[in-house]
Amino acid sequence: MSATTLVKPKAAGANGESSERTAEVPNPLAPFSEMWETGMRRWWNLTRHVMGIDRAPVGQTPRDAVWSNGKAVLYRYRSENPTVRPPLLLVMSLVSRSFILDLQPGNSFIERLVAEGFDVFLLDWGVPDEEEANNTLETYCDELLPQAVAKVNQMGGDNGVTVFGYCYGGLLTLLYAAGHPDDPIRNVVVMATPVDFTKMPTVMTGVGSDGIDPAHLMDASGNVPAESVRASFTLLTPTSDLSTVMDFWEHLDDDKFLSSYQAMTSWTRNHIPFPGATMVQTVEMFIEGNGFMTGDLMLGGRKLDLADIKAPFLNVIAERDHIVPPESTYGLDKLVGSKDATEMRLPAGHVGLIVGNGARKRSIPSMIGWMVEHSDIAK
Amino acid sequence: MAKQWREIYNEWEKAVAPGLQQFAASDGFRDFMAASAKVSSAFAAEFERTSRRWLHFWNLPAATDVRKLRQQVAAVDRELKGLKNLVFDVVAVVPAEAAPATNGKASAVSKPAAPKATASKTSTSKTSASKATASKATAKKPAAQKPAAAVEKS
Repeated sequence: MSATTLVKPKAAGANGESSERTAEVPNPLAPFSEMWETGMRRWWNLTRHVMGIDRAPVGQTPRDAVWSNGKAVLYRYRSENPTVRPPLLLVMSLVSRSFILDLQPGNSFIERLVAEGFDVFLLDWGVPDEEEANNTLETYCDELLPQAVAKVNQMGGDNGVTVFGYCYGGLLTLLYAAGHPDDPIRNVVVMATPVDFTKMPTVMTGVGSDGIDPAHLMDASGNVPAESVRASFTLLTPTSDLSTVMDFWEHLDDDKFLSSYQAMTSWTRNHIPFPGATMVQTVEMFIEGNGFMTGDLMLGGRKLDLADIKAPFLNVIAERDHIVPPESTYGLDKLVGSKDATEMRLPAGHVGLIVGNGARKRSIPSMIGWMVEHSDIAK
Repeated sequence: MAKQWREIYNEWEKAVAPGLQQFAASDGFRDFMAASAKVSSAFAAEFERTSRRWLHFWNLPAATDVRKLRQQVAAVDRELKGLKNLVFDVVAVVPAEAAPATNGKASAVSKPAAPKATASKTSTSKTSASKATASKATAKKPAAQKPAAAVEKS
């Protein structure tokens, strides 16, 4: 409501006719009215946030589960007319939920990919419990990923598959692609993927012989609990939680902000447990051994070499990434054996690569551009 | 006015955050975390041991028993999957004509679909035959975007 109100007093004209004139008379109650409205909106938004009413929905792009093995599920996103070949398989990290790739309508990486004509598949690892505690890197890279890729390839008409790994999913993608050079991999894309673990933040690499014993991190289920995973991320920016609360309080009267806030916090505060056996292997192979850089990679009893990745390769680096600093990912394009290897540096954070305005305007179009360039377009 | 408190907070954060980050990344903090993880792990193990003994005394199952059973089921499941893959590998090597009751499709389909084809031979899988048909249909229609009727399980 404005601070002044238009009133139309009736006045007699000089010739006796009545005429209307308008004048701006300040409404003395307007500021209070404004405060009342804002206050009510804040109160209502706070109530619905605390009570969980009308929560912002996430992961809304229509999809179908097309394959599963244990808790791992392969989803295919519905598309009227997928024009880009080969199909795209998104490989999610093991520590976070996959809906970050499909956050909200209008702010969704997957929605955009589908709109651009990609045939999008997502490999979701599920939430591990006792059954997955003994899952190793071999389980993911030698069993589940090859099966999922074969399924995607079959459903996509044997055109091969573009495998796209995000964060730890990128690490799995690298191990898989290096260990299965004969699989139908058309392109490999990794995004915000740690390679040089000596450049990773100390908080993330404080596990191992010099720090926390991985066994002490595991709970009774044999996994690293989700709270510990979350705590490690929080320690990277100790004041971030408080800042988030401040943002929330400051913009509480903004419905749109509240919706984005709820969607985002439901992801950042909702990690998943990390399978214990994979944790031990990660510590040995990467945190202590720095396997990608030293070339000392063993999987399923065989030696892996990144040089065996011959498919066109894209390494997407977020220059403001505080979880996987850019220094820890530089030079990956030189380690793979592909003749068509690209390093793409984007001015974004770890999540900002795929979420938010910057992603919509810069990061996502850049990645899509590379993938389209390395795909076939059906007429 | 509304922004004033925020400005104060921002100033405070700017002053405090780098120090906190440095502290969280320090060796001292890492050692402290290692020690506290060790203590809490030992405490949890001791608590579990004691409560398990108490429950077993009254002939009641403890959470650890259930957990052990679940882990055993998972191990059996993994072994079964391994065997299924092994069976498939054998079936894939044998020529289609020589492989009985696989209706000649097993050698033609890709690896993940194989356990399904193998399973169709057994009487335990009720839906495997229909699944195999569905799989055949999707293989012929790669661009099909209809909702999947059933999830294929490997």
